[in-house]
Amino acid sequence: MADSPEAIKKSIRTYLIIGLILFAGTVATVMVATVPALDIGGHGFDTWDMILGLAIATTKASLVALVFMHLNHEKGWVYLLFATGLFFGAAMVALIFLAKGDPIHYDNFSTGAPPARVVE
Amino acid sequence: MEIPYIVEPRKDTGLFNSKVGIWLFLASEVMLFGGLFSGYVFLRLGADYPWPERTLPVMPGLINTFILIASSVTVVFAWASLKMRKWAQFQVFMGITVLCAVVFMCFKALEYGVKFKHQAVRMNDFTVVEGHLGYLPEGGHKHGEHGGAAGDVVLAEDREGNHIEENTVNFEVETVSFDITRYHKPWIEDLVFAAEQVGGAIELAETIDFNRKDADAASKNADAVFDAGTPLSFELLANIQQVHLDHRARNAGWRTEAIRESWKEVRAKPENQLSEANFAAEFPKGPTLEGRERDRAFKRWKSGKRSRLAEQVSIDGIVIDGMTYEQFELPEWPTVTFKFTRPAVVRHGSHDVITDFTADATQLRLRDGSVLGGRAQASPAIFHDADAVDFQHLAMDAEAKDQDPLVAIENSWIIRHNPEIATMWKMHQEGVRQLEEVLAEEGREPTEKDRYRMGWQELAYYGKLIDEAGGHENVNLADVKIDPSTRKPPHVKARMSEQFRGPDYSTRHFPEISVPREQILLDSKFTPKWNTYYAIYFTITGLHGLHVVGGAIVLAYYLFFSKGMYLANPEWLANRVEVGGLFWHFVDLVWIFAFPIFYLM
Repeated sequence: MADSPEAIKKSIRTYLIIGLILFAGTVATVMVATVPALDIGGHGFDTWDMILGLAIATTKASLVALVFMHLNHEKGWVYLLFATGLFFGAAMVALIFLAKGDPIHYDNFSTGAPPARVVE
Repeated sequence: MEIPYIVEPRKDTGLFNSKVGIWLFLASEVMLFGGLFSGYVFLRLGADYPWPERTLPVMPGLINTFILIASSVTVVFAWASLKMRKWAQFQVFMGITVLCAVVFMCFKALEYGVKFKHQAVRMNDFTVVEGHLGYLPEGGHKHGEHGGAAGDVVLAEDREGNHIEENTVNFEVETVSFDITRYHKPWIEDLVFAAEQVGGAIELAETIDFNRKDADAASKNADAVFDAGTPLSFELLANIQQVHLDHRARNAGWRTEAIRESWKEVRAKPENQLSEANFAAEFPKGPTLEGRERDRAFKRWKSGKRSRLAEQVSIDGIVIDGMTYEQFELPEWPTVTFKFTRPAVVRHGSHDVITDFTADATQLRLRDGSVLGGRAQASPAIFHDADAVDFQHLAMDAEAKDQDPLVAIENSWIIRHNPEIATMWKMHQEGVRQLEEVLAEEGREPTEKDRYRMGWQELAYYGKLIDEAGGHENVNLADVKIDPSTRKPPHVKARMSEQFRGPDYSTRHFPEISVPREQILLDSKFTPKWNTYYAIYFTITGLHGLHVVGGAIVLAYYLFFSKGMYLANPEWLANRVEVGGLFWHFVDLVWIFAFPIFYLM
């Protein structure tokens, strides 16, 4: 880790650059969602916009984790803890796949199934 | 107690202990937010209504993203300043970080505030109307007649002096029955206030006599008699409640005792004994069995027999202290009825009313079990500025029934009853037709939202054309023009202030819509009640906001109360700031995902 004052002085420039990249990434996220010329896939929001938006967000998040949170040069224990958290975090997200085939997932637009109604 | 290795790293891990601690905590946080985002995906995939895509104003979210990124940079600068032993510089950067957190929360408050004031209703045919309600004029209004905040209209006030939004269930009350054990006090105060407003009073409708009818005059308790005509008061209700609960407890005690007695009698009967003889009589095959099989059969028979005995238990005919239950039973009075000397109109939020509202209802049941008797009054939700009319859900429902969505929309209540909206819908269809032409050149087509939702920018555009034409009857559809570069239906451009606070109602023309209560399926502000999108939006952004507040408090502590530590052991403080900074970066990291997911997708 950049622990000596000299090394830290040098890394300040890196922090600033990363900050600017994050700003630019944010502008890019908004632009791909709002500027028609940058709208990929079909018109309006669709899967491609989701993939692009989340890809930019993941890149930004990785930069924060790697540089600001010093994961680019940490000790082994930190990686172990972080990887464990990440694994279980991803497992939480993956839980939704367990619901595949669940009737809650029918698509009202395409199958013509009646929308769920409150039963009193 | 001194915690070891908080300045120098441990040799085995190479880390100071607080860093291990914060990473353990962050690992748990990753799982927490992972679960919540998973919940978001689940709700979105399973939604039985059109998911509100790109529905939030982007500007506050965008600025908040910039603010959090900036604060992530400054917090790492603050740490670096400490490492370089520059105290003044540390204070500046940490000060900016805390300030960023405060500004972030201010924008959050602004954003939430707009939602708490913004009303939506979903009608029976699934048309959704959004906008701002008016306030009730003094004396109420008849159906279709609009009051409003403008001009010389005097506005009605409730018991606490607040203006009443035109979204109440109004009922002219003649009688009211309370569940004596669970009435809601503020609603009683409302009733008394309403009665006083018309110069009337509320009185006990019939005499409540808790004495037994066969009690002799000497043993009658005068305190247990409440005469008809006694004015409604909390003291009166409390007294009735006390006697009622006392009698209920004594009756229940008697019945419990009687049930015990009855059990004893039932079990004492020879035919009810769990004996070998009865087993053989009732289960002839039983004794022929042997060993464990027989034991098991006997056990099963006993268990069955025991439960069948319960059917014979009864308190009828049981005598305790020389009395049967009929002779002992003390009158209970779970519901008390009061009458208004003059009918008075009371207003409740629709969420407090259990009964489905109908125009000719003569009874209204409230959430606390009270039942109002009288006559329903017109109870429309009146949008003085309707800033969205959304047919997406209606279209989805029509398609599910194999109906043409456009025909279903033409037949919707709002198009049939509101000529201005009908005109705006025609203008919208013209705009969508033009949009279709533009998009067709690219091999694309409008979204469901483009087709079926008239948002505030579209309605303001149509309102402008209506004003220019001098009324909706005179509108020429040829005047509707889209801006092809925007790839959107015709709309006005949002002014800077409108990007934060929503549309400017004072200068834009929005339609007025009065929705009768009978047509409303659900009414809500833009809160978690409205739909699962807002539920998960408030859950995740609210929890994130709490993280911002918590993180800011810790960082502010470093800023204002750490000079001593800096002078004594600057490395220790630097480690603390690094740990606080790690948490702060994580807060930024969550927002990096929350912003595009909630605002842009």
